[in-house]
Amino acid sequence: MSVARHIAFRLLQIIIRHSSPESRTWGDAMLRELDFVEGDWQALLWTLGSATALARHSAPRQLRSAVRKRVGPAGRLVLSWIAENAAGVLSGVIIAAGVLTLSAWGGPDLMSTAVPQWQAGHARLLELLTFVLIPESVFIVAALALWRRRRNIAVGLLLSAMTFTTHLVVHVANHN
Amino acid sequence: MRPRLRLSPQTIDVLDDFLETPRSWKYGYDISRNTGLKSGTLYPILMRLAERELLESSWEAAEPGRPPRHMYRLTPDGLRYAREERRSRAPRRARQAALARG
Repeated sequence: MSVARHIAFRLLQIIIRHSSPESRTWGDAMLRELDFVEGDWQALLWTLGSATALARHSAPRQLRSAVRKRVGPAGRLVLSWIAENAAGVLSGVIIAAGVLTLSAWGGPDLMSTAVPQWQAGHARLLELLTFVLIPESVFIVAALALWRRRRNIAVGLLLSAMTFTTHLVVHVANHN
Repeated sequence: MRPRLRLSPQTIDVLDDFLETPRSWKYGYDISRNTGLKSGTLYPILMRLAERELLESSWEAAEPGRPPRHMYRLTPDGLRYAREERRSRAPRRARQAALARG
C-alpha cells in the first residue's frame, strides 16, 4: 500500500471513530470502497470527500446527543416544547414587531390628522399613546383572543409585550 | 410525512443511474464513476435517499478474508419516485434537445 493510500485509509478510520453511531455504517461503507478506488491521489480525494460527507452527517447528530445528555429530563421537555412551538412563538414576536413599527411610524401622523389640536399641546401624550398604549393594548387584546386557538402566537405576543414593557420601565427609570 | 427531497442535478444523475438497472445492487464507487460525482457529493445524496426510505442498502456477502462492501438500490417507493421524476422531466428534456438541434 502506498503512502498516500495509507494516509487516506488512516484518516478515514480516525474520522469514523469520532463519528456518531448512526454515521459509522456510512463511514465503513466509504472506507470499504477505498480499496477499489483507482489511483493513490484519487484515493486521497475520495477520503477527503468522504470525511466531509461524514462530518456533515455526524455533527448534528452528535450535537443533539450532547445536548440531550447535558440538559436532563426537564431540560429535554423544555427543548422539545421549544422545537414544537418555536414557529408559533416566533410568529407572535414578528406580529408584535410589525404592530409596534406600524404604530410608532404611522400613529403620530394618524393621531395628529384625527385630532389636530393635540399636535401642539400634547406631544408627550401623543408619543405615549402611539409608542406604548396602542401597541401594548393590541398585544394584550390579540393574545387574549388567540389564547384558545393559537396559543403559541399568543405566547409570542405576550413575551414581546413583556419585553417591551421591561425596556420601557428601564428607560423611564434611567431618564427621570 | 417524510420531508420532500431536494432534486439537484446531481440527485437526478444518481436516480438516473439507479434506473439504468433498477433491481440490481450497486456499489458506491461504481455510482461515483458512472455519474462523475465525488464521494463528498455522492454520499450525502445516498444518505438523504436512505433517510426518506427511497434507497435500501445491504452489506455484500464477502468471500472469506475480504471485507464486505456496502451496496445500494432503490426501494419500490424509490423506483416509483425516480420514474415519476423522469417522466415529469421528459417534456423539458425534449424541448432542450429540440433547442440544441436548432
